[in-house]
Amino acid sequence: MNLRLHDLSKSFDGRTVLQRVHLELQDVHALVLIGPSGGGKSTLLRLLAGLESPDSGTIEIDGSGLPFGNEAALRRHRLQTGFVFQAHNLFPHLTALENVALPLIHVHGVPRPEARRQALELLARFKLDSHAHQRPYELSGGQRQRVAIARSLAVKPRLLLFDEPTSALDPEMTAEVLDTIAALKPEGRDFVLVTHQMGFARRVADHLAFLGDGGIAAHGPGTSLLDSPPTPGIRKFLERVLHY
Amino acid sequence: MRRFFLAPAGPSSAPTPPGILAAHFLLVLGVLTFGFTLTFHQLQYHWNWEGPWRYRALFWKGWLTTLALALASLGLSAIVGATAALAAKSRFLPARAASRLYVELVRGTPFLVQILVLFYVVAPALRLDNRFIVGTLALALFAGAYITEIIRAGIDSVGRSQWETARSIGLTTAQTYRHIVAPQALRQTLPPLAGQFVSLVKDSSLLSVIGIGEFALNAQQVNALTYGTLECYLPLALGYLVLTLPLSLWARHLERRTHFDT
Ligand SMILES: Nc1ncnc2c1ncn2[C@@H]1O[C@H](COP(=O)(O)OP(=O)(O)OP(=O)(O)O)[C@@H](O)[C@H]1O
Ligand SMILES: [Mg+2]
Repeated sequence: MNLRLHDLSKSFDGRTVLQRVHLELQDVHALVLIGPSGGGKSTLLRLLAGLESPDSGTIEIDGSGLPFGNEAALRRHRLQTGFVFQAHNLFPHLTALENVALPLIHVHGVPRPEARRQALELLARFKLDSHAHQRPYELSGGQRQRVAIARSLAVKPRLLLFDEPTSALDPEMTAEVLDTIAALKPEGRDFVLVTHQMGFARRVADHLAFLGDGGIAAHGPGTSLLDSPPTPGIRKFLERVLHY
Repeated sequence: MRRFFLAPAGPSSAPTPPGILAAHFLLVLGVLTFGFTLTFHQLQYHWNWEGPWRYRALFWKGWLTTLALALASLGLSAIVGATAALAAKSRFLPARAASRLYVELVRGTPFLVQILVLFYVVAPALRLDNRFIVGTLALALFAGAYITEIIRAGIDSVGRSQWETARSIGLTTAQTYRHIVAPQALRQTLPPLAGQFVSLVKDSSLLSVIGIGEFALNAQQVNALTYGTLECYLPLALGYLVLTLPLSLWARHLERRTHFDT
C-alpha cells in the first residue's frame, strides 16, 4: 500500500493530539506505530479507519483520499477496512460464528448460508471451529481476539487496523494472537498495527513510526528505529518499554 | 436437608431439581391458604355465592373487555414507547424535545385526569366517540411514557464500544439498532417491561370513569346489586391474576432464552 498523510491535524476540546503530520510511504505492507500513552496512536488509527475526521489535512491510501465529511462514502471506506480494538470487539449476544457472519450478511449482502459457511471456514483456519457456537463470555480473551480478527478478515478488507490487540491479554494469549497476526503477513494483506510489544514490532514491521508530542517524531524502514533511536526521547521510551 | 432449603452456592454447583422448587411454592401457598381460612373463620363471614353466580355473564363480559383493552393497549404502548425512546435518542432536536415533554407530562399527572381530558376534550375535537378506542389510547399513552423510559435506559445500557464496533464494520445506525442494540437492550428491559405491562392491565380498571364496562366496573355493579362485597371482589382479583401471571411467566421465559453474560 502507498500511504500519504498530508498536513494532518486533530485536536479534542482544544487539546492538540496530531499537529500537521506528514508522512509518505511507498509500498509498505506492515506499518507499526509505537509511542507513549496519549501520543495519538489510536487517534491516527481511527482517522485511517474513517471513524473520526481530522480538523484539517488529508489521508491518501493508494492514491485515493479518504472522503471525510461524506458519511456515505466514508462508510464505504469502513467496509473495506478491518479494525480490531484492544478489547470488547465482539457482540456479546451473538455466537462466534454469528459475530463473523454478521458483517457479511448485513453489510455485504452475502446470503446467510454462504456467509455462515465462509465464517466457519475462517474460524477453522484459526482453530476456533470447535468454539463456533459459543458466545464471547464462554471464550478466553485470546480466543475472543482471534474471533475478532477472523471477523475483520471475513469481508476481505483492503486494509487491516490493529489497535493494541493484545494489551488486555496475558502473555500466553498474547503470543497466540500475535502469531495469528504474523501469519497474515505472507498473505500480502496490508495492515497498520499499534503495539507495545517491541519484539513483535521487530518481527512484522516493514516500517516503524514513533508517535509522540503531536506528531510522528521519527519513522524508518524495518527495525532501524529500534536499533538506532534517532532522538534521546525515543531512546528513553524504548529503554522503558524494553525494561518491562 | 440443606439441599432442600438452600439454593446452590455457586454457578458450578448442581441446580436444585424443579420438583423441590415446586414443593416450596406449594408450601408457601398452603401456609397462605391456611392463614386466610383462619382469618375468614374468625370473621364468621357468611358466604353467599348465589348473587355473583346469577350475574356471572356480567363478570365474563367485563373480563373479556379488560382482556381486549389490555391486549390492544399493550401492543400500542410498546409501539409508542419504542418510538418515543428512539425520538429521545434522535439527533433531530425537536423529536427529543417532544419525547421529553411527553414523558414528563404523562408521568407527572394523574392517570385519571388524563383519561378525562382525553375523553371530554381531545376525543370530541377529533370526532372520536368510541369509548373503547379512547380508553385504549389513554391506557397506551399512559403506559407508553413509562415504557419510553424503560427502553431508553435499555438503549443506554449498551456500551459505546458496541456502537463503535458496529460502525467500524459498516453497519448503518438503523442496522445497529436492529441487530446490536435492540437484542442487548431487550434483555435489560424485559423485567421492568413485564412489570409495566402488569401495571397496565390493572390500570385499565380506571377506565370505568368514562363508562367502559370493563372487569372492575362490572364487578362493582354486581356488588351494588347483590351486596356481596367479598364474593364480587375475590373473583375480580382472581380474574386479574389470570391476566397478569402469564405476562410475568412469559417475560421470565424470554429472559432465560435471551441469557448471555457481558
Ligand atoms: N474521543 C476523544 N475525546 C477527547 N479526547 C480524546 C478522544 N480520543 C482521544 N483523546 C485524547 O487524545 C490523546 C491521544 O489519545 P490516543 O488514544 O490517540 O493515544 P494513544 O497513543 O493511543 O495512547 P495509548 O497508548 O494509551 O492507547 C489523549 O490525550 C486522549 O485523551
Ligand atoms: Mg490507544
